[in-house]
Amino acid sequence: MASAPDDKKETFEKEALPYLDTVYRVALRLSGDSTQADDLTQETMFKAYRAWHQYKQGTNVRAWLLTILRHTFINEYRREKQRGPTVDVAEFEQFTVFHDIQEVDPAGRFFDQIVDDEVIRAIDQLPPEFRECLVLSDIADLSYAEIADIMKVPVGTVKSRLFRARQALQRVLYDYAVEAGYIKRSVR
Amino acid sequence: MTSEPRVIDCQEAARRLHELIDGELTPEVEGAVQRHLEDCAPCMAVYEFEEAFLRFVKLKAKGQTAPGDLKKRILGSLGLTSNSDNT
Ligand SMILES: [Zn+2]
Repeated sequence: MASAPDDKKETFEKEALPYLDTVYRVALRLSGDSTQADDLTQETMFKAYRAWHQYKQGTNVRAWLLTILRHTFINEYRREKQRGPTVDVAEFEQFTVFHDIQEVDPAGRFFDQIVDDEVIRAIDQLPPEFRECLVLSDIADLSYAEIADIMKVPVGTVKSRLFRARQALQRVLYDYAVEAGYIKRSVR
Repeated sequence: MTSEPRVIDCQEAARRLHELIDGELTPEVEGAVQRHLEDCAPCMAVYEFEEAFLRFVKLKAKGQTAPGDLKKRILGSLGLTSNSDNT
């Protein structure tokens, strides 16, 4: 039986709307542009509301919303914007920064001195497919399987991209912290 | 008959740390990694560092919220009134 319009409003407000900020954050990092993020967020929530009857109760509503967001982004937005330079993720693949800092700051306290904007800037430098994995995991808190489903890649690919994205991010932020004087570079 | 508990080395432990933190390991592998960490101080130190790093990234990357006027516009266009937005 189809649900009444009031019921739709009520369940959408209760279940989907609390994730508006998450949708917006992911939109910002995918597009790298606040105007586009506004439009993407609005379009995603509009499409989600229209298709609310297709959402399966009890499944992860965040994953469902972000599937709509990614689809919209890829089909309507992706080609419009030229982004800045990206870091070479392969270069960082194997190493945790831990081995560099274990003598001076093994708990990684220098991270706490790095401000939000700098972390965002570092995320935006990741190549798109790595950034997307990291954003869906660390901003949207999706599982590897949910990310694999959204990106249409195997779970193993998600795992390795996410690992490499995080290691690259760690290295970029460590280099930044050294330059900013938050930590002394140790000689390996 | 139960089989011997799985044993892993430092290299595998290092590879599995993020999966452990993300809660993505099967109970068997999770147990093996945890047993390794309990017995191996160097790996435990890396684990604690990575855990702190990921906590830091998640916190900093979730700092932004959707602008108030965008929220209003969305609610208006959907004919909704709520302003719940906490994730
Ligand atoms: Zn070890």
